[in-house]
Amino acid sequence: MRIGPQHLVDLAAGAAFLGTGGGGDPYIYRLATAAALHEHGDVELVNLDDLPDSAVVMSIGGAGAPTIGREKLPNGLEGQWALRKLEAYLGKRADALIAAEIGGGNGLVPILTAAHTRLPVVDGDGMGRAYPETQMMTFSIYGVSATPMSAVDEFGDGVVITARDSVTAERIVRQVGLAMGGQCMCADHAMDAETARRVAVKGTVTLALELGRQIRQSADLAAFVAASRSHLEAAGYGAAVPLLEGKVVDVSRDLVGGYDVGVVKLKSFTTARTMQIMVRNEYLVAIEEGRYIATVPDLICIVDNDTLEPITSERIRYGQRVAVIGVGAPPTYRTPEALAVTGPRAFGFDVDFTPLDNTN
Amino acid sequence: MRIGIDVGGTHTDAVIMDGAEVVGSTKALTTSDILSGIRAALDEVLRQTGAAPSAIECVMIGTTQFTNAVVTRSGLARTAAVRVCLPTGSAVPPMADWPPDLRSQMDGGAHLLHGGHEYNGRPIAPLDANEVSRAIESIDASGVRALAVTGVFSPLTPDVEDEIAARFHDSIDVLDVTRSHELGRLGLLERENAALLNAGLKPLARHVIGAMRASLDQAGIAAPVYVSQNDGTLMEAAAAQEHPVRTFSSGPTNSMRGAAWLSDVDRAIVIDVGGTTADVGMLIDGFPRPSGTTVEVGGVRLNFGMPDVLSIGLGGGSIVRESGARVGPDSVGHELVERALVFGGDTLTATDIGVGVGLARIGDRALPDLETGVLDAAQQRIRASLADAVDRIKTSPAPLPLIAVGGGAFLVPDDLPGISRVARPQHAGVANAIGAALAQVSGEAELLYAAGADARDAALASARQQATQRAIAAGARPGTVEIVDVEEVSLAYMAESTTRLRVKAVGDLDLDEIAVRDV
Repeated sequence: MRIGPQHLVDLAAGAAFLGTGGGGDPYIYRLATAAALHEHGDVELVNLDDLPDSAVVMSIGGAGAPTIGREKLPNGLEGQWALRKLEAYLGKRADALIAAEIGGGNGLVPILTAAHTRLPVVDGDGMGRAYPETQMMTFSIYGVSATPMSAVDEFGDGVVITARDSVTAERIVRQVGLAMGGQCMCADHAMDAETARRVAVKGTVTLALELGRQIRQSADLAAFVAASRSHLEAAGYGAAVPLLEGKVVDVSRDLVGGYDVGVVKLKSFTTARTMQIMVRNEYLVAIEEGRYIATVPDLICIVDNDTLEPITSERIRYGQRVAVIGVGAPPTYRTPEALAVTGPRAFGFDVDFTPLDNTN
Repeated sequence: MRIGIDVGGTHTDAVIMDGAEVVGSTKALTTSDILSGIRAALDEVLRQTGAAPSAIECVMIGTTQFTNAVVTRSGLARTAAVRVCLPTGSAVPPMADWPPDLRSQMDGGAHLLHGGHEYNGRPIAPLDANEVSRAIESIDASGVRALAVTGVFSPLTPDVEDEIAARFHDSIDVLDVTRSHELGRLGLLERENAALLNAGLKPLARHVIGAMRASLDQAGIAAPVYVSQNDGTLMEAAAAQEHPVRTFSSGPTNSMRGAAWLSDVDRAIVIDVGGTTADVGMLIDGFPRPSGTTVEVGGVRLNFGMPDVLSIGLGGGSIVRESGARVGPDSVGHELVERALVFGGDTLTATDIGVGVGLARIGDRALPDLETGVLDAAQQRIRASLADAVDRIKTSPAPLPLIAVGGGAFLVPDDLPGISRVARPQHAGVANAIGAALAQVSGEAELLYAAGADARDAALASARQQATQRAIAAGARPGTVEIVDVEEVSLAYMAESTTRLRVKAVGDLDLDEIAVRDV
């Protein structure tokens, strides 16, 4: 299919849902991408299966604090510059782009870049949601080197990072982003299509589009849960499970090691149930009376209870009326090697991953 | 004594308060010149109380005129946007997401210039003098005389906006300039939107605020004039003329603040039933609960604090249909006194139902016989609508008191689910004018700080002090200033941990200080 401006409202809403609170508010990238598609025309969305084995796929996405992104808006060319820098280093051109993370504004970055470069965009990504760090991408988990990784700013100034592993690359790019004013655009994980087929989370652009459409069309939470089921299953995810409908009764935030760490407390509308959601940029685990009822890598999404609009962790506030929805992670995140870097213990919680489908 | 006035779309209400007592109140019709409506209301309350104009110490005015101008797309000036941002930001130009009808009316051209600052104050790029000159020439030639200047991270580093505004003032004679940092918060698009609307509203603000002053002069009242802001606090009339967007949403805020004061309850549900709609909100600590999700006025995104208010199509003028199964959302509005049955008209309205079931005594003739069951059915319908709205706005299942205000307050039943009791205070019909007269002023401070326990304490102390000083500068009595809100948001993904801190202080208006200044 081809992605045009008419798809972006749904795509942005679906990406925000899959962002599990992180990935940044997609509103600004929605506007920037719409303008680029109007100017340069629609972008082709391709299946990895339809690319030749040797086709070169490069991952693209921004890194930075959401508040920085709300002041330093994109000029729209950053993605193209990051891509060209990586291509120049490697001495080969990309044949297709893939999102580093489908969650939040980063879900739209490859489409904006593709509008300028006329490259196709792969229906898939490296996270299936949003995560805070490079080594949490499926590309890295399943053996693709994150580096060489390019990082550029709004002038096109930039660097190419080479590093012995993804954790090191992440540490370096974080410092680079800071020197660039708190955000940068990256191209990384260059791989052939044969490899990408093995390591990517597939079908997530289509999934975001469909979820966004259901968010817009569903009359209420129950309707959304029912309507989203087949789309989530098609992409390998578990069903959406309503965990709580209630009000936000407390939000605490602290900063630990460069992350937004906090606790969102909720209280049911109708019963005495309460819930705590632990935040590290993303919503990571949901706890009810000391019991973990949902744990990362399963998705924990918070949406407005009336409009179903996803609420990012930066915008969650006391008094909001919300629904908490859990979604089972795709199988690629349930393997021992994936859980070692994205399971609850990787975030410091003293609990093993318990899939949603076993706890509810 | 002080006077509270609410200039709404349909009615201009006025009250005179002596200390904590309402000594006079009235409702007049709003007029298109604003002035004669206020005059009529003023004359009536002065007559009621026999107060001498010289005994009035202070006048507080709330108005929905500027919100209505944006919503109805009338009275807005064509406005040019100057954004100091390059090489960032060109992918999302000014007014990119505005409704086309509003944009076609207000778009006075966009000029993106090199400059702006990083979060830590480092310049992104130097200003280009030639670029600035070209923008000035272009706007001068276009004839547009309203201008909004927005710089990247200007709430933290306002210098660039000041410099550009000064250059424009030096070059073009008559110009309404709004610098975005005057209006506050981080979030460039929303701040730019507020600056654009503000610049475009300034000519209307001169008219409205000028009419307010003129009507008071004519009535012989020389007291200082304050205008209410969207958070229920006051600003000086001159500030309202500079920043009309700060009055957005002050209508529901005033009626909720007035309701809180009239009933001496500071945690409650408030329902303000007007002619066409009922506004349902929640009071926490005497202030309306702020809205958490995206705020829009007339389809334009803003990052102001606005009260979380649910409007439903139910008011005294709501038309009753289908044997009482449907009430509203359409209304006879200000034609109630011609069209309602109890005024001899031909339309069955919610007011007629209220009279029929004995909740209200309104009108100049008896209610004619109605179809059997209509009264019961309509009353049940009204009850169900209000019960649903109350449930949607509540934050906890625990029962809360409810305060019913507005001309149609009699439609609120005494036994709504989740409500412990219903307060129907005296003067509930003019709660909005009373809310305007509740003298509180505020000051806000916002800053970023890097990690470390000492840094946090220092930042917090500095922000508290700044906010307090700003409240006092705005007219608050020093001993009464309290910090009412502290908000911290950490900037994720930054290697050097950085937190955004926002503090708000509120205090009572210092009436003595006003008198001294006035002399």
